[in-house]
This record gives sequence, C-alpha cells and structure tokens, in this order.
Amino acid sequence: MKRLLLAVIAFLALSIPVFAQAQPTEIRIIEKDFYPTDKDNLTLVANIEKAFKAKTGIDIKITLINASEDSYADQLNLMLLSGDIPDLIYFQGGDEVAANQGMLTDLRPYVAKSETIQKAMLPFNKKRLQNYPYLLWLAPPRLNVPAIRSDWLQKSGLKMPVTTDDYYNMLKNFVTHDYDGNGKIDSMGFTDTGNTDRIDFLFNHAFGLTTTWTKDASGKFVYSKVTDNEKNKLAFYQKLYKEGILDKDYITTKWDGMEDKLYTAKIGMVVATPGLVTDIYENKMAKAGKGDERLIIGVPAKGIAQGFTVDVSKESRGWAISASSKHKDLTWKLLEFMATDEGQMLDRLGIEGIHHVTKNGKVTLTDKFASWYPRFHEVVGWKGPVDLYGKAGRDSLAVAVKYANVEDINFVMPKDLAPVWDACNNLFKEYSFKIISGEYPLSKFDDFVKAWYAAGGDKVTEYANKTLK
Amino acid sequence: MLRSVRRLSVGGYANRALLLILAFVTFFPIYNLVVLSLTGPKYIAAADGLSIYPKGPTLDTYGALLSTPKVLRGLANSVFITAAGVFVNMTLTTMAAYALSRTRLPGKRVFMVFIIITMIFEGGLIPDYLLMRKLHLLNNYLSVILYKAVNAYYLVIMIRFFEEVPISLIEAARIDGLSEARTLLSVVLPVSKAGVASVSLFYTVFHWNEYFRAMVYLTDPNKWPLQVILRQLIVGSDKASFLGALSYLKYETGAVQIDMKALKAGVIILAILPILMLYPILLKYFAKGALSGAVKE
Amino acid sequence: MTGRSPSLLVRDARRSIPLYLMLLPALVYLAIFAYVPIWGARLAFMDFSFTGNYTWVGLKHFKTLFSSPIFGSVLLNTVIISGMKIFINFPMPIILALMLAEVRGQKLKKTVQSVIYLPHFLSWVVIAGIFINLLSLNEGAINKILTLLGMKSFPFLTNRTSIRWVFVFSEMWRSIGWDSLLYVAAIIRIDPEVYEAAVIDGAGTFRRIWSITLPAIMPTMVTIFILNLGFFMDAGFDQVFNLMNDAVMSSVDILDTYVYRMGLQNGEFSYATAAGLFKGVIGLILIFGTHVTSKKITGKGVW
Repeated sequence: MKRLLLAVIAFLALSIPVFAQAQPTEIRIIEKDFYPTDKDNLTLVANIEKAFKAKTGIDIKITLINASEDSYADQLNLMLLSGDIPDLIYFQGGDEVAANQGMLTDLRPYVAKSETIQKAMLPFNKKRLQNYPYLLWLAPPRLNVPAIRSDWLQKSGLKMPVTTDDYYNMLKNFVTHDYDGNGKIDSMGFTDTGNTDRIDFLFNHAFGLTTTWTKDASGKFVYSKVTDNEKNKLAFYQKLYKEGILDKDYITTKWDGMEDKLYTAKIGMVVATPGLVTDIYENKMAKAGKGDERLIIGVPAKGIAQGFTVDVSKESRGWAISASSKHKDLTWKLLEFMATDEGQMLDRLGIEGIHHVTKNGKVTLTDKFASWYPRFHEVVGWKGPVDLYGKAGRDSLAVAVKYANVEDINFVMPKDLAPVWDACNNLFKEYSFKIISGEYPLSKFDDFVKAWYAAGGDKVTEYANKTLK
Repeated sequence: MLRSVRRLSVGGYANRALLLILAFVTFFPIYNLVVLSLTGPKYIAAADGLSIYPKGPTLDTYGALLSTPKVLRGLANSVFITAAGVFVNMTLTTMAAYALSRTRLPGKRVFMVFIIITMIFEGGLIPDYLLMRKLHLLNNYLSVILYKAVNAYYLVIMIRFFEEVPISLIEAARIDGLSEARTLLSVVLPVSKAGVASVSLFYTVFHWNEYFRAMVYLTDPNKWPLQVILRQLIVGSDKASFLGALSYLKYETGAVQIDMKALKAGVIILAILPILMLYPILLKYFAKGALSGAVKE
Repeated sequence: MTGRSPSLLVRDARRSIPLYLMLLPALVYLAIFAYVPIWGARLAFMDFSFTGNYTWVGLKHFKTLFSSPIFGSVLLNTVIISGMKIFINFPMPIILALMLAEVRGQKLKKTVQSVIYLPHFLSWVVIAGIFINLLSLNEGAINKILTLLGMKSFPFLTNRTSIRWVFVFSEMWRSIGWDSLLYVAAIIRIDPEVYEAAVIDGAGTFRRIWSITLPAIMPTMVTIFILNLGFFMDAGFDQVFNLMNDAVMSSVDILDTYVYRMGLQNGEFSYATAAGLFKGVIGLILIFGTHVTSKKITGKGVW
C-alpha cells in the first residue's frame, strides 16, 4: 500500500513539470479581417505554431480576436477600454492616443537586438521607428506607381514616358485615338479616386513639390500647396482635364469605379499600389480583354526633380505590442519569427494545397493565390522558392523602392491646431477641384493662397517654422 | 374606395401612372442587384447599374455564399434573435403604449418626457458595452435581444394608434367589467391591426438588420446572426482595404472564380430576402375593414 | 396637471394601478438600458483616457467644437439640408399614401405596395453608388440622356447647390415607400361609409381628401413631424458621408461628418460625445417647442 502511494506521488510530482510545460503560452492577436472563423486563417495559425516550436522550441497558442474592417476602430477602442487588451495589435490609425497614454511598448530595444528585423526594414522604416517607436510595419512603401496598358502603348508607337512632356504626349495620343476599338474617340488617359492623390505621386516631383513643407527664398518654411510650384502643377492638371485626359468624373470615382474603368478599357493608365495590387489589376484587365494585355510599369515623371517622397514621422499603420501584455518578449519573438525565412514562407505563400502546391520539392502557385495576402509582414526583398509576383508586381515594387528618394519634411499637427488645419485643407480641396475643372481660372490660385493664410494657415506656418529644422 | 363610379377619371389614370413609375423606379435597383449577382465572371466588369439581364449567368455566387455552413447557422441565429427580440419588443411596447393612451393616467406627462429623452440621447457603444459587461450579458444572446427593446419612437406611434380606438368600444368593455389587460387584448388590439402590424414590422427589420452590436456583444462566432457572417465574406470592404483592390473569394470546391462585384450584390440580396418575403404577409393586416364593423353608430 | 383636486388624482391613480403595472416593464428597461448608459455620456465633460482615469474639464470640448473656423458653416449646412429634407420629404409619403388610397382595384395597389419600400433596405453605400453612377458628368445615364436631347451635361454631384437636392431626392427615393406605411395604416381605419356619404353629398376627390382623410390622419402627421424634429441635427450621416466629395465639402459638411473627421478618426471620444450631446439638446428643444406650440394651436401634440 505504501509503495503504491509513493508511486502515485512520484508520478504526480514528475508529471507536474510536464503539465506545466505542456501549457502553451497564449498569444492574442487582433488584426482587421484576420477572422478566427476563417478556415485558412486557422490553418495558417496552426502552421505557424508548429514552425515556431520547431525553430525556437517554445509552445505557443495563437488566439485570433474577431474584428472586421468596417468597424475596426470601434472594436479596437472597445478592447483597449475594457482592459481586455490583446498582446499583438494591428493599428491603422488611432494609435497615437494609445501611445500617448503609455499603452504601447517601445519597440526600439527589441529591434536593436534583432538582426532579422533590421534586415527586413527599409531605410525609411528605420527612420520612422526612431521618430515614433511604437509601430512596426514591414511592407512595401505605400506609394502609387504608374502602370500603362501595353496594347495601347504599342499601338501608339511611342517609347516609355519619362518626362512630364512624354507623359502628356502619350496620354494625349491615347485620348485622340480609338485604341479600345469601340468605334468612338472616347478614351481617357487616367482617372483618380476622389482627389488628385494618385496622380500627385506621378507628377509632384516633376513640378518641384518634393516635401510637404519647403523653404522659400527667404529661408522660411512654407506649405508646399501654397507655392507657385503647386500653381504650375494645377495649371497642368487643368489642361489634362480640359483635353479629356484626366477623367472628368475623377472627383466622384471610388476605387472600384477606377478599377472598372481600367477593366472596361476606358483608361490607358492607372496609378496604383505596387506589388500584389498591380498584379491583380493586370490579371483582371487581361481577363476582361483578349488575354494578352499587360501593365507596363512607368517611372515617376521627370521634371524639376524625379522620385517619390516618403513620410518618416511615423508608420501610418502597423503592429504594436501592448504595454500591459504578460508575454511581451514572446510576442516580439513571434513577430520576429514571421519575418524570418520560415515565417515568410508561411505568411507569403498561403496554405499548401489551396494557394500553392509542392511537388517533388518544387513549388507552384495555384489560381487562388491571387486571393491570398500576408497577415503579418510583406518583407520587401524576401526571396521565396517561387516568384510571388508577376512581372508587373515585381517591376512596380522595384520602381517604388528605387525612386523613394526623398524624406518628407513634416510634423504631427498639434491638437489645438487641428480644427484650423481642417479648414485650410478643405479650402485647398475645393479650390484645386474648381481650378482643375476649369470653373475657376488659374489666377484664382492667388485668391486661394490669401484665403488659406486667412483661415489660419498663418498660425500653422508659424508653428511649422518653430518646429521644423 | 367607391364602387359607384365605373369609369376612371383622368386623375385616376394619372394616379395609376405615377404609382407605376414609382414602383418601377424603386424596383429596378434591386432587380439590377439580382442580375449582377447572377452574372458570370467574364462579363461582370462591364456589368453596371443598368444591366437588365445576367450575361454568362451562373449560380456560383449564391453557391459560394450558401455552401458555407456558417451561413445556415447564421440564418438560424438571426431567426432566433429576431423572433425573441420582437416578442420582447411588442410585449413591452404594447403594454406601455396602452397604459399611456389612457387619458386619465396621472403622471402621464412625466412618463412621456422620460421616454422621449431616451429617443434622443444615447450613451453610445462604449457605455452600452460596459453595462453589458457589468450585467454579465456579454456573449449571451440576451444582450442582442434586449438591445433597444423599447424604441421610444415606435412606442409613441403605438400610443397614437391606441388613442384612435373609438371611446365607445372602450366604454362598452368597461361596462362589461373587462379588466385593463382584457380590454387591451380583446378590444384594442384587434381593432389596431394595421398599427400593430406596422410596429412589428419595424422592430423585425431592426433586429434583422442589426449586425454591429451583434458582432461586438457576441464573441462566440457560432452565435453570430446572418448579417455578420455575410459581411465577413467580403474581405476588403468599400473603404481602402489592406490591398486596395477587389479580391477573389476563396471557393472550396475548385478553381471557380467569383468576382467581388457579383458577390457583394449576392450578399445584399441574401441579407434582405427574408424580409422581402415577410412584407407581403404583413400586407394582409392592411386589408380594409380592419375595424370589422364592431361599431355601428 | 389640469388643476384637478388632489383627492380626484389619488382616486385616478389607484384606479390606474393595473395601467402602471403594464407600464412598469418598459420603464424599468429604459431606466437600466437607456439611462445608465446616458449617464456615461458625461464623458463629454471629461478628458478621455483608456486607463479610465477621466479628468473633469467642464465645457472644454464644447468650446473646441464651437470655436472651429468652419463650425458656423457646418451648422448652417446641417440646418439647411435637414430643413430641405423635411420640407420635401415630409409631405411626400403622405401624398403617396393618399394616392394609394385612391386606387381602385387591389391588384395594382398590392403590386405597388410590395415594391416601393424596397430601397429602404439598401445601405447608403449601395445607394450612393447608384446615384453616383446615374449622375456622373461623363458616364452617368442622366447626362447621357441630356446630351442626346441636345442639352449640356450638368455636374449634379459637384455643383454646390445641386448636390443638396441630390441628397433630398435620393433620400426621398429611399424612404418614401417605407415612410408611407404608417399613413396607409392610419387611412385604413377610416370608415368607408363616411366616404360614401360624402360622395352622395356630391363631394369631389379633393374635397373628400381635404375634409375626411387629412383630418383623420392629422394626429399621425403631427406626431411623426414632431418626433422627427428630435433628429433634426442628424441630417443623415451615412448618406452625406457616402455621397459627398471634395468639390462640395463646403456646402454639405454637416455636424456629424465634421465630428467624424475631427473626433472619431483621432479617437477623441469626449469630443464626439460632446457633439452628440449638443445635437440632442437641440433636438429636445425642437420637440418640446413644437409640441407645446402645436398643442396651443391645434390642441394636439405628441401627448
């Protein structure tokens, strides 16, 4: 009897550490549209847990918290408020409030020790982290890159455009011919989505608009949108609008409207996010056409300057680790793991059998790969076993990275200036559309500048000159 | 209205014409959505708001939507939540409306103000959520069933309908010795069929369409109503998404590709279908003679 | 209340006990699920913090709201748009109900009724898409028809005046069928014999409507009108948000879109709550104001 008792006790004693170890640490993650009910997400999570254990020997259990895109901000705030804070949080805005209240972890010490992450970061990621150390975001620069219909370019017989004049000539050519074959001269050059943000990527540098705040002749900082460079650019846009090169409906077009215009061959060029998006556009465009149409990637227009401006004040979106998380180190390890080769393999290729198929060590992507997107990181420059992008995607990423050559000069608007800044922005939006659409003559720009300063732009400029170096 | 005049006057024709135009103009967009949801992938990009018939027709979109078991469970949840919710709604609202429709109720004004304030002021999502948490109702169907269980606007509408019941009927009931509850059930309700039907419809539509609170209060996906499930099938919504582009839906059984445009249209149709079927039933209560000739003055 | 003696009141109260009991569940519900959260709206007077340590700041957020350079225009837009909508969209469902009542033959009536409420179920995202497609300068069907007829195309969506009318009409299209339901329900209870008597007396259609139908549905009309005034400051956020564009901001930016831009997007809950309170107070004043006035003039109000 006594021996039995001892045996039982010994067994229990020995098994306690086994049980304790066998309890995987739970890491809770919240990201929009990363649903815990989606089969693929669950498979991915299981794969990650397995691979993570294989690489680090640590057992983790990843729990996804349900949050959908169209109410993400509300749900996130709810979680933060109720004290039920996940370990790993994806933000796409609204993080500053949390950061200011000390709810997010400073990531710099972690990054300093991580070669993997440092390798995966682009120079402007590093700058952003320095200025605002709470968000990590490994992804291609969020610029827009011009993509031109190959069939129309071919028919025009022109070379790839480089300068502003080249672009004008090419687009004018598109507009004056019937390349979509519908018997009417009704094609347009390009469109935009509610404002001129996309085409600004293409033309800003060409008109000398390289930073948000720029020094004028006297060495004081001035807002770029009230400079003569902006005036010249608006004159150019006005011309494009008048000649039907810029879609007259651009102000009411939403992103799905823009895509429709591309697929139904109403526009000859689109300015879009590089990478996956460009590939999808090309795919669908070809599907709706003969099948051999491609998107050829252009460069930003060359004029006074050439290139893209990158904001380095902070990441606009990204991953944060909760300051109250009980597993900060482990959460970081997971984040880091997803940037390693093994992690990226899982995150970028999707699910085996659904998005890609491995046979005899060779990996091929399936039709459904187009619907997969990385949940954690999209490390630029990661080489997988197979090309993840089509030519258009690859080229557009290359252009984005190559030409992102200017760091923006900007600052975070203080709260008490926010209403005034809003009023100033609204002024610009209205005047710019009215000038572009021809309702106002170009000379009205000077009235705009006066009104802008009167609406409080002078206060903001004063603040800028105090803050910027 | 009148059986005596046979011929339609000009005004009568004009009336009918206008109504028909209205009917067409309101019907067409829904019809168009049905068309879009049935259009095949090759033609969907060119299909737009004026498409009259589906090119390359396919049922794949609906197949994709309905084949996920989640959808059926969502449907069951929606039916349960709506039925239970409307039951609670109508019970609370009808009783309160009856009480407040009796002129001699002392303190009536105070109650009305109390109620109307709730119509205009709301704590908002966060205080509501915190309250649910304190009551331990999170992840409980009750949290959604009890959401806006008494709608002040509908309550006032109901009061108005009850006030219209002819006094003679009420007095007859009083003379017969009926209690207030009995009066409500046997006299007032049967005579206010149209009003009661309307408010029931309002509450039904409200519960059926509610998705945001359901998603926030119910953390167990098995409890989610149809609207939540359907919305989540569309990843990358109308605002700029992670990709900034339409994306194909993952379809379980093959390399069939379903376009987002068709999918969104299909989702809309599926989401409103049950209500569409409910409405004609309700029109029954709008038949004339609801007064059932109970009063002969 | 009406100057009745206390003893009569007590007697009435005692008699009304069953009524109080019927009223009780609703009151209890509202006390818990409406008033407790409303108390949470005191956030408007405090600085918001995730950690829950709110600090009292009095009217600071209201001051921020009122002192914005565009607050005046935002307020004006809200009033104008709401006013336009009430002026046009309040009578329309009534007229529709009257038209439906005049239709002889159930078939047409039933068909029409089964269809006109449909747009109400579409979200503004969808409806905005429809109207933008319809009214676009280049591609919109309406402008295409205009150019076919030899007229110039008109920028419905980017003209500062016409856009407000687009709001009014798109709202009307969406809600006219649904909103007419209550009036139809009210018309139904009119005894058909009253109409027949009027016809025998020689009354024409309009005379009948004026003397019989309208007075009969007047209480419903007044109630709905006054109640809707409670939401006067809303002006329809979903609709405006989805239909607005940069060209017309200055004439369609309403209180809610402004607050959304400034408050919610920056997580400024206190600010948004303050704006909500402001709207509510105006709504309440409007309701009570019109109720009291209506009672004085017509003897009928909301209660």
